Formats: sequence, structure tokens, C-alpha cells
Amino acid sequence: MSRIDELLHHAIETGEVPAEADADERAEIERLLRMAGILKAERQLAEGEAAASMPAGRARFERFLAAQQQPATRAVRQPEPGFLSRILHAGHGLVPVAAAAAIGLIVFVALIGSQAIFSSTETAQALAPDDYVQVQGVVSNASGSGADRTLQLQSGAGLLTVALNSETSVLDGEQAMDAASITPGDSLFVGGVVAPDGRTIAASTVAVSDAPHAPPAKPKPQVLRKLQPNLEGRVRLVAVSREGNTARVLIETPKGKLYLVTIDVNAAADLLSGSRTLGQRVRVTAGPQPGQAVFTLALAEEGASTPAPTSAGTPTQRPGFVTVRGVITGRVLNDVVISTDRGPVTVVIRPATRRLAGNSGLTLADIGNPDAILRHTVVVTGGLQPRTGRIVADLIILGPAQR
Amino acid sequence: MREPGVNLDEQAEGQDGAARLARRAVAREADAWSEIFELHYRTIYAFVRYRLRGAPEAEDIAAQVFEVAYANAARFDYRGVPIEAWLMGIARNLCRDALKKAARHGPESELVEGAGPAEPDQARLADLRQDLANAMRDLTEDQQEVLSLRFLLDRSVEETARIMNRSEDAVKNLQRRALAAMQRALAGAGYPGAGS
Repeated sequence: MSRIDELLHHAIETGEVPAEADADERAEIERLLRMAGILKAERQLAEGEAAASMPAGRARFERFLAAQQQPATRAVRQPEPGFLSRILHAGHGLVPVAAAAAIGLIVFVALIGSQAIFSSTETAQALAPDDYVQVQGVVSNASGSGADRTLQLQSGAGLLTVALNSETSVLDGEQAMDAASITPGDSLFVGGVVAPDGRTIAASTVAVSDAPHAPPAKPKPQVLRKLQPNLEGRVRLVAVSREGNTARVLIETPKGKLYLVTIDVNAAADLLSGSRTLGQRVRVTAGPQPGQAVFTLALAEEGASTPAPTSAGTPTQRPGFVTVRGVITGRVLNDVVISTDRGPVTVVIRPATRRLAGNSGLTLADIGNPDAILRHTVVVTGGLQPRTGRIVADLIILGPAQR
Repeated sequence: MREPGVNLDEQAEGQDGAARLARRAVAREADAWSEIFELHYRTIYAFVRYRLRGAPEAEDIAAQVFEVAYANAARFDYRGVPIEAWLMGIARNLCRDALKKAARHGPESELVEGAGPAEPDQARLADLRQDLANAMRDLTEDQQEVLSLRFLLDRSVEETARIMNRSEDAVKNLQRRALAAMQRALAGAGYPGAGS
């Protein structure tokens, strides 16, 4: 091994140039040490990026594993004759009677089973793994230190765990705030991706809310299957699947009743690109395909004709997430430049950023292509990057192209 | 070689645990693969991050590594090969393929008209990251790997040597040449901290 290799190695390990190095060696080692320092400084950024991208990566791998396991299970299953088959092939005189009894039993079990399935669907979870979700709730417990905090959030979807990390944007009004400042009793808007357990949100943005909101201790949302006239309430949660093709909202009526409503993805895009999402008062309307339990939403008036808010709270005067509206005019590496009324704004696109095609006319495949979205109108919702204060996108909702 | 302060029983236990996990991985037990993902995702992401064009591609390749590993689980010989080294080998190949594919399709347009200036600090940070990524891609594959392992993943020379299947002396020589090449590339890009 050469002398300079060993001297440099020693310098990297100790941070000091060895005394035995001559002037030329010292100059070279100092240059290379500076280079090593630049790379080491990148380590933290790479770790932050890796942590931020982990929920999406994990969800993708879980889906992959599930898909791999399914055929394997089918393949190993032995083609044993079933109960009905054994009776039908029993070869004795009671076959017709036994078969009829067996069929009756199976029909009975199937009926009971379908009731059970129906019931479980009625109390379906508002969240599914890998959904992008915005949810309103109140902190019941907070633990952890620094940026790595874990919150228990009482919400309309029940008690949720909210995991914060160094990449999570924490906002108070339009200012970034320290995650350590969040304490039990705070009312929050949380945006992030649902972990595989379906109850934990890897938070990308957390915003302190002014809106007084007292979610029920044991919420029991009902799944809306048929349109009900004049069903109005405030949005407490909105969830969009990773592919952006299904969406759900949880709305709370003035009487405190919770409904889980599957909505058309365009309705979700409209809701998410409005001036307010969580806390917005909406009316449930018929969906694009009557007969299917997929609905749309109309913004409801906040006037005196609507019942006074109770536990449903009042609309916040403080913006929850950072919102940018404009036209995508360019991109720099992974960031997009959006031309707004107040000039160009650069928005950071993270690996976990979700995209909705909205009424852009683009396909799901198109919206993953950075060049395909140029010149399209866009609404970005997100937060402020902790290290740099730059606007970082949680969700981008595309609109028509501008010519 | 025995590490100072590490009990031999603990070392053996750790090796047994890794071997058990590897055996379960070879048998394609889903729980084992979830554990492997949790243990190694961040490392693999950081390993590939500066070899590729950006964070979305790094996320995609990092996720692919685990899918490819699962698909090839039956071929994994865990005797003497740590799972991490195996995953890094897969990552290396996937990065190589991705870069070849990118080269075939030509460079991406990175700046489009209308891109207004960002805040000075933001622009400087973005420029540095771009310069680093560009400089890294100018290095040889071995040089990229030694810099990723030593400085982005904070691996010792001994660990780096094991992962790269080289001697420790070779790693020390490679890291000096890689740092020098990186310094030349960044100085060429006008980055002040890299100047001579």
C-alpha cells in the first residue's frame, strides 16, 4: 500500500493530517478531506430522503409480497374432495337426500356469511394501506424527541398513530414550527401516507388548526350506500389510493353522525384543490353512475340556513396546508416551477408526493412523466421543507393544459 | 478478526440470527422479507441515490432490489455472504441497467423555460446536489461504490472491503483515487469547496 493511501486513511479516521506528512502530502490530504466532508454532509440528506420514501417503498413491497404469496398458496393447496363432493360420490342410496341437505346447509352458511360480510363492510375502515390521507383530529398523546415524534390522534376514523420524522413539515399558520411544540390537546390537520397496518400515518405535513374540534371517543362511521337527501356535513378525512383512482371522505353531520362516503376521484380532486379541504362543509350528491355507491360532493353554503356547528366545529380561519396554484412552466431536477399570480414558485417534489390527474385529460401513466405535465394548471398542497423552508408538495392535482 | 469489546457469544448469536433470517428468506417467508426490507431499505436507498438521476428513480430502484431479491431467493447462498452484500450486488446491477437505459433514451431536459430563480440558499443547495450527482456519475463504478459505502453509508474500510470483495489496502487506494476524481469533477464545475 502506498504511503499516501495510509496517511489519508488515518486523516479520514481521525480528522487530522498525520504529523509525518510532508508539505505536498499535507496539501493533497487536506483537499481530499474537504471532499470527504462534502460527501459526509450529504449523508444526512440521503438518510432523510430514504426515511421519507420508506412508507411508499414498504407499501409497494407489501403489495408485491401479497401478490407473490397468493398464487403460491393456491398452488400448494391439495385438490381434496370437498364436503359436497364426498357426499355426492359416497356411492350409497342416501345421495339425493344427503346432497339436498348439504346444499341447504351450504346455502344457510352462505347466507349467514354474507350477513357477516355485509356487517363488516358497514363498519369498514376509513383508511387503507398506502392511501394518501388528510385527516383532522386532536392529539391525545405525544412521545419521542426532536423531529422523530409519535402522536396519538383522536379522529373521526378512531385513534390513529401519526409518525413524524425529520422530513415532516410542521406548520403553525404559514410558519414552520418545531415538532416538539405539539402537545396533547392540540387540534391538527395531518397529511401523509397510511402504513401497512392501516392505522399509522407517516406524516408529510402536520398543521396546527384553529378550528375547535372534538371527535367522538368511539366513532362508528357508517358506510353510505344509498344517496340520502340533503346529507351535509364537514369533511374530517379524505383518502386517495396510491393510483389515484379511488377516494373516500369521512363527513361529520351537524348532529355528530359520521359517514364514510366513496367519492368520484374528480370530486376528490375538486375538494383537495379547494380553498379548504378539512373542515369544509359539503353536501353529498349523486355520482356519475347512478346505482353505484360512488358519489360526488358539492360545497355547501356556510350561511345561516345551515345548522349551527356543534362538535363539528367551525371552519378554520387559518390555512391548514400550504397551497400553490398556477401553471407548471418548468422543472429543475425533481422540482417543478409553477407560475403563479405572484411570480414563479419552485416546489419540491418528494418521492412520496402523490399526483392526481384531475380534469387534466392525462392518464395515470402520463402524470408520472415530468415532461407530460408541463403547461398544465396545477394545485399543490403540502408544507415547508424543514431544512430549507422551501415549499414541498404532498399532493399535486393537475388541471387542463394551457396553450 | 475479533472486534474489541464484542463478546464472541454475541457475535455468534448475531451470525446465527442472520443465518436463520437468510434461511427463512430463501424459503420465501413473507415475515422474513418484511424484516429484511425494514433492516436494509434505507441503506439500499442511500447506496443507489447518487448513482441515479433523482430521488424518484432511487426509490424505484431501491424497491426493485427487494423484488428481484425475493424472486431470486432460491439462488441465494447465505454461507459467507451477508444479505446486505447480496442486496447491494442486485442494486449495482439495477443501477447499471437503469443508466444504460437512460443513455439510450438521451439526457433528460433538466431546465425548461420559465424556470424562475429560486431563493439563493435553495438554489445553492440544489446546485450542489446536482453537481455532486453529476460528478458521481463521472466516476467509475468502483469509485462510486467506495464513496457511497465509506462516506454516505459510513462503513469502515473492513466492511467496505468485505462488501466489495477486495483487500483493505485496495479499498484505501480506491478511496483516495475516488476522492481525487470527485474533487477534480467538482472543481471543474466551479464548486468552491472542492477547489485546489
